[in-house]
Amino acid sequence: MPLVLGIETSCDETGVGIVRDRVLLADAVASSVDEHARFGGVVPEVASRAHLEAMIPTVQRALQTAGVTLNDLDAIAVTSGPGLAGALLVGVAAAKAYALALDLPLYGVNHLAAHVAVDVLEHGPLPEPAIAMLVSGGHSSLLLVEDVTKTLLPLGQTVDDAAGEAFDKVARLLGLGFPGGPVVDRRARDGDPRAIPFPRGMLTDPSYDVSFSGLKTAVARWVEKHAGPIPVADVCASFQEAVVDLLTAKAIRACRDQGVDHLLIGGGVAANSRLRALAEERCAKAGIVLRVPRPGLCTDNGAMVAALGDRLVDAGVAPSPLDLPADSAMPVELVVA
Amino acid sequence: MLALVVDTSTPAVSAGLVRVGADVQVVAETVVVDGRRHGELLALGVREVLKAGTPDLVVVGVGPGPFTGLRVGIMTAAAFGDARDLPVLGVCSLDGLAEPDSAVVTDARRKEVYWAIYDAEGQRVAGPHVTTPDGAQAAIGDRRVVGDGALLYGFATEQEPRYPSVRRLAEVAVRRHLAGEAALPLTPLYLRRPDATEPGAAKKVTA
Repeated sequence: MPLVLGIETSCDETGVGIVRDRVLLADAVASSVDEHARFGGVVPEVASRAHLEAMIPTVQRALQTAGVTLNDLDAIAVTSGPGLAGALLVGVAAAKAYALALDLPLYGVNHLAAHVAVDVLEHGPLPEPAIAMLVSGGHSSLLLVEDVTKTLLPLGQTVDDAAGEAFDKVARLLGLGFPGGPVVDRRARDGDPRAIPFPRGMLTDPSYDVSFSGLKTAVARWVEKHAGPIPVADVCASFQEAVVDLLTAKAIRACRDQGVDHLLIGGGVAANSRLRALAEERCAKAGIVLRVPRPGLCTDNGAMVAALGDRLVDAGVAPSPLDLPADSAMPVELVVA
Repeated sequence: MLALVVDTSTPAVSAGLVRVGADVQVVAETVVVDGRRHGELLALGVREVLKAGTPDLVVVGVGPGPFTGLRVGIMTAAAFGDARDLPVLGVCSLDGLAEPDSAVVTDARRKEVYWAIYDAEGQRVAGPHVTTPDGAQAAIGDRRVVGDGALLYGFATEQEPRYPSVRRLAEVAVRRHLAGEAALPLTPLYLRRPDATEPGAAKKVTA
């Protein structure tokens, strides 16, 4: 039963997770989100600096929680892409040094595949093939998962902004601060999702691609033209409804077209309460089994990297070479670099 | 004492195993000059020099230097030290270039240089700073200049040594350590703030 330590630094969370045989033993996360708030988005240099400061303490915290030592480990896994280049590089350097010093195999893994793999910790093995929808501040992807240890097939993605980015931009124009996801979700609870008919970009397009840039502009336009106080709750609810309506419609269609009866949703936007509710409703109607990890496992973390590493060791996949690069544009088809 | 030394503060990706005792001896060393591949190359270099022995401590140049590459060296040293439970000593990378009565000038990009001045005993008496080459020249005067910024910005017609030596870094760090001086913390000597500005009001989308 391999003991795997996973390191995640692709954006603004320094995550270290420890997994043994599909059981989560520790999930330590240090976030630099507060340092980015005044800039209205993640600043790569600020994130990279924070990763370097947080790495060793976060590793130590994870080891303590798991009740293991570095010498107990059997493998090191690390997100090697996609993500912010400078941020990835800090995690990859740490992972290489641990692997080298402890003489352990090193797995440079795909961030998106890790978002898929994390669900095994909560709901057991994912029946494959499955459709995965990964939605966050950096990604909006629909993937066909035939074997998460081998490759992921991209079906569709955003043609412009990521879903989470749209939440951030709308929150900013409403003066709600950064990050936008949680606050828009909260304010939307008191609003009417049908109050304003915002557009669903590419809803009728036959592809599995989505678009959020027109929606963001439509919200800005509506807010600028509105006379009197802005009904923030209604704007939030109507905007959010447009996003989740589009996302779930495309995901359900992908399941039907591909003849797949399991849908997995991951990424930071999967923490959105309305997305979870609408996806449940539509999956139930369509006879699709929905799997969404708890919010703490949907946002970026080290547990997901350890979970994928654990699967890779289990499947006998060859480890990565020590000259493994940090690849900011790592293709989703590549699970291990 | 056998020191594992790494420095990534310049285009040179350096790893070494250096014995520091009554004299200083480089047991193994790898240097590859490739300023865009610190992340790929450093661990290979460390693996190579470790074939020559087992270190008792780790020494790392903490800059100043271009940030992205610099972090690779510091993160590598810190994690290696954590894994092997070894002390990790941070040292100013410019000290690894210094000679008595000299100034060290390295490339800080953006038409600026990192620099420091050393006295007749080889002790740093000014810097590290980041300024324009003109600003550095005014402080340095007619001292001998070494480092890869020397030729690049016309401080000298030759610039050897160009990059910090693992030998010198180990010697400086270990001697200070044995003398009871605190090493530098394992955080880069950035000398510059992150290049980010707070956003203004959102652009209007309606006419």
